[in-house]
Amino acid sequence: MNVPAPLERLITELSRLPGVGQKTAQRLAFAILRGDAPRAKSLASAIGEIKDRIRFCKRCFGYAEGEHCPVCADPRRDPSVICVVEQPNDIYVIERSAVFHGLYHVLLGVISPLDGIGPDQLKIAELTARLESEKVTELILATNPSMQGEATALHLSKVLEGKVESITRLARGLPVGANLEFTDDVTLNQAFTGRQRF
Amino acid sequence: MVIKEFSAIKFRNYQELFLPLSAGIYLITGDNGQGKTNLVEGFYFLCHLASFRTSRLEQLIAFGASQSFLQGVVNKNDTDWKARIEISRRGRRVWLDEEPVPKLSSYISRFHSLLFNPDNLYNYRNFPGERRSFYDRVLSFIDSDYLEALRSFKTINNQKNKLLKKEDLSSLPAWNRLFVEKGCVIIKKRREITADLNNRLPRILSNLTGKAQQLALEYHPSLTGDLETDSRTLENLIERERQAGHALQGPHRDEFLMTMPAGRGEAFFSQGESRVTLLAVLLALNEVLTERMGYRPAVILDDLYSELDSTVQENLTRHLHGLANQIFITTTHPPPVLKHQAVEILQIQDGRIV
Repeated sequence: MNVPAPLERLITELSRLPGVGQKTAQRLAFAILRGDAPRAKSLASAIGEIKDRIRFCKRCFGYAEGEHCPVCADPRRDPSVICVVEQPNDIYVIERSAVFHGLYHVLLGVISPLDGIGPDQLKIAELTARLESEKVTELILATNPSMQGEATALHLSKVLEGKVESITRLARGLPVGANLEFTDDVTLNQAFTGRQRF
Repeated sequence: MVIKEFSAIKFRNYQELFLPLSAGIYLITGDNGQGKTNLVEGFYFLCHLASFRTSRLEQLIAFGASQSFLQGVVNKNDTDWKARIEISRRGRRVWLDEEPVPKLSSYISRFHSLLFNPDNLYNYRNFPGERRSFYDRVLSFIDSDYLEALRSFKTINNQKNKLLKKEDLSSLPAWNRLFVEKGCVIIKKRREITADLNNRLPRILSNLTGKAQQLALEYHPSLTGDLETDSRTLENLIERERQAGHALQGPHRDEFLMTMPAGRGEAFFSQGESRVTLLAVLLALNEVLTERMGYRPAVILDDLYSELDSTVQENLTRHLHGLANQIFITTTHPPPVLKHQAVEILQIQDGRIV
């Protein structure tokens, strides 16, 4: 494409973002160029700041601005329950539902030998340390229902057995508001296996 | 299930073909290289969105063209479905009743055909892995739990094999647990279909050969299918598996064997016996599929009659006439017995029906 070099550079950088193709990157770049200068500067500084000021929470490895993330810093949270998730963004998915009031622990990945990730690369030792130093009664394993997520949950339940009163796994089954007719067979099968007494 | 209309544009050696079809038996005949197998490959592609001869789509496109098109009207359980498929080097695009089909798997699970072909006879006969995938394909089609278990198992097995080449094996018990869980589902369902087929095989084979004959499909799982027993087996195997660098036991090592009485295994079958036994399996699967799915798959029999003696040719033809499936047979030399039977003959010459 025949565009001035700085514009070309911005388009290339934007198109590296997930979900942004060449066309969207062009549209975004032109919109930034058309907008006023302070807006563009503010966007640039926001992008710059995010890497400088966001780090992993020392306790749970979620995203934090200071030492601790907003969840760990909140005294109203119940410290006796820890929900284990794969990635920091999983926290926001669960937080949006406002159903969980305990604390989190982010593994920063899942066990996947094919990707060269073993238990040592995950924040498992840190989780074990938390179980020893904090008064935790329940551990909720909320890794994804993929084979890697399942293996990670199984591994955790094996190595943490006896270190906490109860270890639970999120239930799988029918999504709320879904129609039985349109539910795929595998989900339906799991819903039947995991059915509960009325 | 009946393919009622079939058209092909720039597909293999067919420039433009429109073919109205009906239920019953079609005999597709012609000299070598005229396009008999290409035609049934088109029928097969209409059902499975894949070829039985190649995984490279560009080979299906006529020389000099950039795309091919297949179109068909398929009637299943009294409903007509209009399917349109566009094949290009980049992939397949599919429309069903003029609506684009975003998930091809939803299309593939809709129609089914049973295929007999000299290449898959050779593969079935010579490679245990091919025999496993032969039964895996049928089971995956009739049972979504099996499909899910098989897919998950493949992921688990790949992860486990990679892990066994590493230093830190601490997550192996977790992978083994999943391995056994999915493995047990697979073994149970492979056992069930083997038993089901064995109830039918002696009758069908005797029908085809004209003499009372025993034939058994033997399934030898490499684990037992019992969760606790298999878990212990794998535990005891860890050291040996670590040395080997891959999983030594599991559904990926299961064996399917055919035996005739007196312990005569497949390795001792003659060419003709191999052919007639696989045909018997196919016809038994036809019964299983019809019962389980509630409709009759299309049956494609490519180069059916070679290597079969005239008695078997005759009996086979009679058996096929007793079926209510839509059947496509290709052959260079129609056996004399067919001349007196009610079959539609499609004479193929250079990519055209004459």
